[in-house]
Amino acid sequence: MQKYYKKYFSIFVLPTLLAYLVAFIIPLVMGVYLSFCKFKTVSDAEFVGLSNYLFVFKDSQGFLHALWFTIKFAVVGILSTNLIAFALAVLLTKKVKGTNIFRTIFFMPNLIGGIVLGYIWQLLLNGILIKIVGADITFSATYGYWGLIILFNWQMIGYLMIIYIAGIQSIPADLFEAAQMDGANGRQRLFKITLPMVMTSITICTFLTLTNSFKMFDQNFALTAGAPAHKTSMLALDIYNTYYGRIGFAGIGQAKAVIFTIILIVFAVIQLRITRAKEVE
Amino acid sequence: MAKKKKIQSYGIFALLVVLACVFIYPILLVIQNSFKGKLFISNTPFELPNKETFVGVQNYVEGFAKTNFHKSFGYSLFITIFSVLAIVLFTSMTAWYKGKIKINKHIILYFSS
Repeated sequence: MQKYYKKYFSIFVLPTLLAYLVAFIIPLVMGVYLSFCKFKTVSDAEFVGLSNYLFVFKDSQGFLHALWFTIKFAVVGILSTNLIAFALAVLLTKKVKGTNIFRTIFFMPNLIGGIVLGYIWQLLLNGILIKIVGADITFSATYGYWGLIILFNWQMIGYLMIIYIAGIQSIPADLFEAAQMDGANGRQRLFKITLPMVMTSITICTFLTLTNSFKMFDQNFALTAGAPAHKTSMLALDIYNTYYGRIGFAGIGQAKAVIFTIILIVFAVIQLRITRAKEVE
Repeated sequence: MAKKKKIQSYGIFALLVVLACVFIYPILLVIQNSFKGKLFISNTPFELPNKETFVGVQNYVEGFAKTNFHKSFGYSLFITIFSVLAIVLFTSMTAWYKGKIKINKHIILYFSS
């Protein structure tokens, strides 16, 4: 039987495999190779060894600053989005009137693309800031930082909320009934039943927010574009600026991108390990 | 007890309404500003369009005419339709194959999906 199907390999698998090779494997290998090269176009690459990587860590390009800024952003962003989204999910599964309308409204920002989102919030935050302090968002890195946090919350909360709602709704109702019989109050039911039972959703949501906050580019690009003086540029934007902004820096940008990928993989694996360990059957 | 519950549910409802307003406000702001003249958007972003600032659908008309919006929309539509068709077709084919054959040596396939 197995042999009978084997001859269909070329028809059924090859298109996907080819697409995977062309769109993922080859660019990945080439990208890693190019990070060891000095080049203007892909075809005139000249091998220079580790000098690109050494240059990145000399910090003249602000890579370490961007990394630190991204980590600060990711910590606050992950915590705030997940907490608020979880709270909303708990509220919205309590049989309130108009639950569906609320869910739709909270989900709506997620449908808007990153660049547009950035411009919307730039307009809004600039309007508020000019009235209060008389300067716009490019005035200080603190404004940019909190602007990005607000934007990220606004974009992600709806999506995470939907995942949490699905998680909460899949908890069997008899667990709550049994707890109520035993005299557990609302807080105990929340922390002893709901929270452990939605641990899978928490894994998914923290993973999503972690990768999204590290990879964030368009929102950052549209909201502050790194102003003032690249102080609010996150990793992706920093890589973009190095690669395209300066002639002869393509190799260094490439090296930054490789480091970025490795950092992201490390963080994602650590996060998955931690949250998976807390999941219950 | 029942009365307390009722008050609580009204409280939750009120909280949700406030939050929903916060969430929807930026979208309303954009819609409102789309009817204003260009200068007034950055000067007075929070005010409703009045006689002086209202420009009708001029922004929409100009947007469509100047940026070749219909063309870009056509590209987006084309790419969306054909990429979704190709993805659904090819990935389901691969999935079928994977389901029929015990794959150990083709481990690379697991990454592609």
